[in-house]
Amino acid sequence: MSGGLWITGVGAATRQGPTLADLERGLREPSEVGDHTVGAAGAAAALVEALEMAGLGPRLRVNAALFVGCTWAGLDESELAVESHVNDQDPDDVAWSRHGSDHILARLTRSSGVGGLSLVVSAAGGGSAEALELGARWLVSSASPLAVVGGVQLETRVGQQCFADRVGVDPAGCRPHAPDRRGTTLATGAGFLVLERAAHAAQRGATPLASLEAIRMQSGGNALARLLQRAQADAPDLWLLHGSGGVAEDAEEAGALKTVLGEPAPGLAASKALVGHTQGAAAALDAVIAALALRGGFFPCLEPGAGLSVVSAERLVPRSASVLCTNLLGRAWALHLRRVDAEPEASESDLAPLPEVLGAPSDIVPIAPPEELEEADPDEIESEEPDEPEGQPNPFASDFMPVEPPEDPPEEAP
Amino acid sequence: MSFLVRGYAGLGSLPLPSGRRVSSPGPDAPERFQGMLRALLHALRPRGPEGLLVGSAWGPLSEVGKRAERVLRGRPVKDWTPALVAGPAYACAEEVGLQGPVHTVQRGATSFAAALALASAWPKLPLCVLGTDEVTPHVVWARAAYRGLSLNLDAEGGAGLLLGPGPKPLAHGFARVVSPPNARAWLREWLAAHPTELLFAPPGLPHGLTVLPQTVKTVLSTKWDGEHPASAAGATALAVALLSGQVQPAVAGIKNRPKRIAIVAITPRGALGVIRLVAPGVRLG
Repeated sequence: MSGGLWITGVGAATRQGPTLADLERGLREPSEVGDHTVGAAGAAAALVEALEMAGLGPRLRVNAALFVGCTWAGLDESELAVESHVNDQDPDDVAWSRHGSDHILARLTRSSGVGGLSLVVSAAGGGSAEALELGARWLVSSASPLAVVGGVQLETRVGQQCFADRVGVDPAGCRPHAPDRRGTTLATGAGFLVLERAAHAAQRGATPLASLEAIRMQSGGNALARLLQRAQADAPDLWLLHGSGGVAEDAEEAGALKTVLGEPAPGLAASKALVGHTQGAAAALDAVIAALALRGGFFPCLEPGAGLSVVSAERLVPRSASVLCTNLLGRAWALHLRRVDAEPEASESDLAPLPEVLGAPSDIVPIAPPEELEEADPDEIESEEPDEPEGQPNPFASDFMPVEPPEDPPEEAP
Repeated sequence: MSFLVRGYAGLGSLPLPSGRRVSSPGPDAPERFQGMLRALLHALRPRGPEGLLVGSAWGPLSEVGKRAERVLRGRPVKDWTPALVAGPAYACAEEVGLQGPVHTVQRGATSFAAALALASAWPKLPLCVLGTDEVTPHVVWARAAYRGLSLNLDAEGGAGLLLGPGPKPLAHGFARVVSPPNARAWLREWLAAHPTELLFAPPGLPHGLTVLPQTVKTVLSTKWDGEHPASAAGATALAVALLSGQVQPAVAGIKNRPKRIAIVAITPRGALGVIRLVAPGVRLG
């Protein structure tokens, strides 16, 4: 039996092009690096693409949560406003009104009809890894049946300068783990995944791309090595490396891989040569790539450089994949996905086992499914939960008034 | 997805008992956002938090703004770390040795409500949930853009709650964030369905809520520390103080100690955050 959370839809906009199909073409065979720029409208279209693949109608969208990883949400607009000040011009009111997280989230929710808890997660380049972590945590600990998670990276000069200073930029392009690498290539992009309880997805006839089995995070010194020590137990067929092309970042990752997995290591791939370093969206895009590979039964054409010894000849059609992500502040994440071979029957037993989600920076804490959670206030407070209709769990048991879907279909992204 | 409140703290001019009001760094202090978080976290630290969630519309905007100006003027930037949105919360958590989750989330003026809603995903863990936003030159410049929406952003502040299981909580609550287009209609229905004696709301919102019974006293959430995106956090801390009897009801212009309080936040694009708090022993629904 597969894990309790399925990925039922994915969407992506990358420099390879505005759709998932553009990305998948580049993954299946070596191709030229594209030059497509992803803006807010393109990010919204990627979100809609994921929702449509999952087959979610307005009623399911309107109460769905949306967790979006960004690096400085809205900074693209703020820069225009700051620039008007720097150049002693009149304040750019339009740009200022688009400043901050509210603007990008409003764009995404308006285009998609997603109407539940929506928030931006900022994590210094690991935003979408943290968004995935929080989305899984949200589903594991609440009764909500689905959440949309992902990341958006728009073009900002400040963001690019920050990553250029911290990671370096290679004028010859991003070459993860190549011995003569000089840095990364910064790119725009957006990736989204629909996470859904397996039982809920099976009940409505959705087809899974993969299951999300575990999310692990470590912080502090040697975070990546400590993370790999734990993540190697998953024994994935495919490791999607962080592989930024940064001289120091890749050296640290290679050292940790060689120490933990040995040399040569099997099943390594790195996507940033193809899609660039999309910072706040990077982990979500790698999770989308992993899900496509698991669904499609192909090994992504993303060979890391010769700085790592890879057992290319032994590449198999992957049954499981782990995504690695690190941020600028010493955190590292591992997301473990598995192919779903058999559809579970729609029953309560399918809620277990739910994925392991981090409970503390230094430990993995298995999370009990919601029905096993104790009420926080058994003695002190009267319960306010209303009776649930038979066979129909209320996703907002303590906040029980669901939002009705709009009468008109949601606005499509331009 | 409810939570229990075990402690509270507020910055600046909130009418809280002196022991729970902490001072913020001065307007010229470097890394002021981190200083605000640090002040609140230290005030709540004796109650034993294990994790930290921060809700902030802008995060360390002054630090981002300084670096943006340097980049746009073609000058080098020496240190990026203070400008990374997640950095201040990581640093504060490390300073006090928190071993649990540490996250910074953003959702405009509903950021604190979003952080509270997210906090209910750790029902067994003592968590600090902080909401703060600083005033910066960039915010002042932005004021003109927001003026059409009747928001004056020339203020700053913040507050925090300590949540977690255990006996004798100060209050019981839940939070929710809803996006347009149905948010206002949902809020009207929700307020009509949930008895409330006191409603903290930002300027402009109460006029749209004509269904409110006359028995509901409405107070501006910006009354004490001005209009800034984290004003709902301050109102929430004050609500806990009112529900637990640690400040007098007259502070909110009412005679009797309230048992049910709602706090509403709204973003310029219409997303709504609602926080409901009730006194111990009172039904939340």
